[in-house]
Amino acid sequence: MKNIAGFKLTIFLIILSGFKLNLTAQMEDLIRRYAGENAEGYVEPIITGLGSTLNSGLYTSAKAPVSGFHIILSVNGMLTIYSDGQKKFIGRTNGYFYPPQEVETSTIIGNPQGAVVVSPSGTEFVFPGGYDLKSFLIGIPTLKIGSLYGTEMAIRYMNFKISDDIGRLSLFGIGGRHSISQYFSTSPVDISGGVFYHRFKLGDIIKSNVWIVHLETGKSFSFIDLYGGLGYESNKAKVEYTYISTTETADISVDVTGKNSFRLTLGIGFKIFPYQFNIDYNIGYQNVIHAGFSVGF
Amino acid sequence: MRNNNGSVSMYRYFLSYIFIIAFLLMATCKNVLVYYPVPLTSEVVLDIEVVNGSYNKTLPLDLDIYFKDLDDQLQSDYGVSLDDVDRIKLEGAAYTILETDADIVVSGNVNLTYASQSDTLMGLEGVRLEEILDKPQADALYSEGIGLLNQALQEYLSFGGQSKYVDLNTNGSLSESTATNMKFTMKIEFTITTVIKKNHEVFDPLGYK
Repeated sequence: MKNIAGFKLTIFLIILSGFKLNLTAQMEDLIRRYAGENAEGYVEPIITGLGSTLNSGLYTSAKAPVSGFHIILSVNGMLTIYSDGQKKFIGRTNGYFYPPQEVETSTIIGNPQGAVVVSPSGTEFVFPGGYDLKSFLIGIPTLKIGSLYGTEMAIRYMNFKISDDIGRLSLFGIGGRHSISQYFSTSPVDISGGVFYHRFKLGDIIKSNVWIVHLETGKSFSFIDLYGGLGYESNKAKVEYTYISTTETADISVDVTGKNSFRLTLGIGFKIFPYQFNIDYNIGYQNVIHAGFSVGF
Repeated sequence: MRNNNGSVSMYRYFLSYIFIIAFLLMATCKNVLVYYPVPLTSEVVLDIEVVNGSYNKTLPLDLDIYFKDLDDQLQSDYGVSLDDVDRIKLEGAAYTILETDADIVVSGNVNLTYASQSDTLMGLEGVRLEEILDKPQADALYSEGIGLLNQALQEYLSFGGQSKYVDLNTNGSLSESTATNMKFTMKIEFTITTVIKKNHEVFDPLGYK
């Protein structure tokens, strides 16, 4: 009975992520208009949102146990809110539209009506609209195991078929965290550092590799953890689709780099053994709110 | 410790449900009507014979065939039909000289005729054929012809059109009299953009309307 609430919560958050990814899979219809720089500008907010959220919730305390066995299962919900600036980019007309022009148009999260450029002779070049998104939410299960000489390993994994059209979603993440404060016996605070890697794949459209190196400090009390940290992250994705333009149809592979690179995390955790609830705020190019629920021994 | 079980359990469930309710309040699905273009390029190849220094050739374009191809593409690639089309417009057009048996200068027009109206779509003003061989010329469009083509496309889409044919006529003359009889091949490409509106149900916490 005790675990039913946690189980429901796990299912709930995984379902949330499924909703989100179903949307992402539909982007191929829209991106077919673009190749090269246009494609990168159009898709970049989704890639940045994905990378920013994935790199959240990797630690829920600055204290990494130095010894003893522990295993913790967490469900992490990450929410990021898009700024208005991320809803627009400068797109370039292509094909036989004359004269070539640049115009501010929607990114994939922008205005659903896109933009229209009318030439002096009356031809029209239409840029696709976006999904009018204000936020990006993803839910992920995480399993942590430790401790070996102050080192804790963590794994994130999801793999399921969304539909015949979209294909499979797979997420694999692995990382480790090491206690640094164990080497400074007089340290008044806990210090630890770690690295985490995610590989995300959605059907044949998106393949993403996300890295973060993080260093955190904080203080652990009986029922509360206070923590804060810094992170340096890298977020690169390959978006593959069929490009349909005025003059050609081709299979395109576009490399997209997320704009998230540094982050500052501030968080608090509430502990009632064997449960823990955390909430933290991540400040960076894309701010993220993370809430996590953990059960462990 | 056992005495605390009741309060601990309540606190635990309280946290869980607050968490769930918070997400439920934030999490909202919404329907977004997204507009996006589907460009479709059609081409016509004209083998033109110049006789006594001038040429005149007409080719009918069958709108039934064009819209059948468009409907097939919309259904196979996008899962929508012509009913989901918001508007249809000419995005661009270009002519390309594919072959010529003389290096001569040509002046002429490409005209459209639809439902007894006729207008110029493209102009070839003193172009030396060998200089533009295999190079698409996209800067020769006239607004009158574009308007007529857009009218034909939109009317066909709306009510089947006044006519199922658009006649494409190319005519002109040689600017140099050295070669009065010759042949050249011209390809005309039209890129017509169909703007689709498609409803997407998206999950957007805090984005409800």
